[in-house]
Amino acid sequence: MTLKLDSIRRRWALFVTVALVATTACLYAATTFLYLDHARQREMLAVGIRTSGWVAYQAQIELIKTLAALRIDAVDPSTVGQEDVLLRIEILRSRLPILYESEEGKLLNELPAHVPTIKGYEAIIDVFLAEVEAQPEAIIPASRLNKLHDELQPLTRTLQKILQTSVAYNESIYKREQELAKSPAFVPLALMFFSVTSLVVFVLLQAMRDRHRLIAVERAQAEAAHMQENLRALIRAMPAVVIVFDSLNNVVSFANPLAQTLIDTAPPTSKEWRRFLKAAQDSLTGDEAGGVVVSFSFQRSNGKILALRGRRQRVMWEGRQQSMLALADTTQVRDAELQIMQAAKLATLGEMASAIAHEINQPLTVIRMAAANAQRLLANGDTASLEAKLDRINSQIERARRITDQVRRYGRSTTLHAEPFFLRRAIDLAISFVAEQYSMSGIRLLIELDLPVELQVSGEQTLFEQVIVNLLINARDAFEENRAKGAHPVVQVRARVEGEQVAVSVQDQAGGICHDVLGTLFEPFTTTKSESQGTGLGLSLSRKIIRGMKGEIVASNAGGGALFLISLPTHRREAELREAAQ
Amino acid sequence: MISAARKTLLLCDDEKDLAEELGEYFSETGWRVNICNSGREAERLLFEGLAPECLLTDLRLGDMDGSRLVAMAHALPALIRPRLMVVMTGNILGSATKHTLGVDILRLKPVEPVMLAQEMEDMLLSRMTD
Repeated sequence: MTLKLDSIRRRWALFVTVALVATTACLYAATTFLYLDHARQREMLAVGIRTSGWVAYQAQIELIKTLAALRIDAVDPSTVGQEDVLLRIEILRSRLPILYESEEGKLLNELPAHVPTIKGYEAIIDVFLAEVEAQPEAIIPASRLNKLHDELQPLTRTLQKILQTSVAYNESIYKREQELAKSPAFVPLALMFFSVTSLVVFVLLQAMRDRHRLIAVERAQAEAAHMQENLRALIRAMPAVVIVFDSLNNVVSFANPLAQTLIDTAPPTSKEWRRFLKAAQDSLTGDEAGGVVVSFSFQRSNGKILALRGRRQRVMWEGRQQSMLALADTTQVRDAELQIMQAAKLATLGEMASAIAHEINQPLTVIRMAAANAQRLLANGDTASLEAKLDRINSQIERARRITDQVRRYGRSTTLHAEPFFLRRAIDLAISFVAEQYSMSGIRLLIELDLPVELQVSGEQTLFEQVIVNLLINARDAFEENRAKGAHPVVQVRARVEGEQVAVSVQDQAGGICHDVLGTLFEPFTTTKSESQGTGLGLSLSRKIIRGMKGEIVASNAGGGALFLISLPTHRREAELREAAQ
Repeated sequence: MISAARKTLLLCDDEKDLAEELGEYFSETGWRVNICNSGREAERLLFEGLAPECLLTDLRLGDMDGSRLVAMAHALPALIRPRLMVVMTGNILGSATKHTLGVDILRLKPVEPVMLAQEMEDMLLSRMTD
């Protein structure tokens, strides 16, 4: 709503500005144009009026000269006098049309009323000139000259009137000019006033808007400063590790107090910080769109191993793009998880104690029998066959050692240290761990490991083995539980490479998982077993272990049983993902 | 004292080394021993009329359960049925007893051969004199 109002306000302000600028420009143009036009017209009018008076005056002068010439020649008509008369008459004839045809003459308001009269005199002159032209050699008689004189005499009054009109008009123009000189024109002044007013209003409005903008900017800057201060205070007070660093040179720009306490109180340029940032960046997974996840262990210089988990984000910090790590200290959680994982492994070992004892008793029995036979051979003095007995005893001791090594390796303390291991060997070891139990339960293991021996995945090998052992024990328990219901004593373990991923599946034919449980199967404390058999942590831990290996585990029902499918990136792919995340 | 001709033993264990050592030990102590490494082979020999006096088998065979082999032996005609049936097992937590298995002797591995051989001979003698 506020954004919409702001948008409307901005558009309105823009419209007002454009309108004011356009109005001001138009007013200035109109004022200038009017002023110049007015001045020009006034000048033209004054010149015209004065010229028109001059035209009338000239005509009057010529008339007087003509009348005088007529009178003089009428006293004693002669050729010379006649020529003078004709010259004057022709000049007068040429002057008369100028009165009403010229621009100056048209300016006189009363002239049109005299035009017929003037034209009448022109006709008289034309008649006279026609007579003279008819008899060019004849002397014009005095009577004719006097007649013409009398006929033209009234024209004197007409011209006098026109001249008077012109003079009166000139006077009024003069007065007007004087008035205009004293008081400037109202319209240009008004236009000028409006122009200046518009300009001032525009400038004032612009100034107000700029002021408002300035206030808004200052307020926003103040708020941003407050927010930044609050943000820093919040980050400082957060019970999480927050570190801002430049990923180009791995220099820490900011570390909140918890980070300094937990990692290093030394300056951010110290080796300890660089080592920490390298460990963090080596563990990056995911992408910028989905969020880059950081999960790693870091050994402090005092030997303590921290577990940290969180995210990395790109941020603008101190005017440049940097990276921010927001991490939770999961050391205690990790320790608890390790204890649970260790307990789960020991529980598995406990479950398999019977099978392990059977496995160890087999070589022990062979050893005992071989020893008994060796004693007998020795008593009989048959020392030649003793060596074969001793070799058999040695090989059986070696067999027993392998079993105890496997148990010891499996039961050793769990760490979350990830390193590449050979997947096929790990699966083989896990299967061999439960093979005796399966044999005792009469369950057939179908194994299809379509994997190169040298294929590696990244993680903690014994934990991965624990996942497979856990799935195989679950399959065995499901079969035992549903044996009476016609469950088939077959469990399939398959593994194959799919591009840069490896798929490992464990599938039984013991009836499958109850639909109600399927959705929450990997949640802690979810179990389909009786309380005495299951803790409900096995699958939860399995998922955690597989996710720690950047993989996923899903469960479904298929082929009359439960199907657990594990997807893992190969070690090479996992390394690529980590590089990409950096 | 039982004559050597009567001390016949069918020994069945899928652990080849163990079967060989046991066979050697019992052979040296006067038994005529037939060794087989699978339940099915033992079953075949018994059906074909091998008729040993004693059947010694592991409880867990690769292809079948030792108790099943014992049950099958019990079902044989009296003339070819072993008089003495002995089971060895490496399963320390197994709840089976010699009565539930229907055997005369049940021993946990690793067995003590002198005592086992002596017990078997004594028991076989008592059966023969009954």
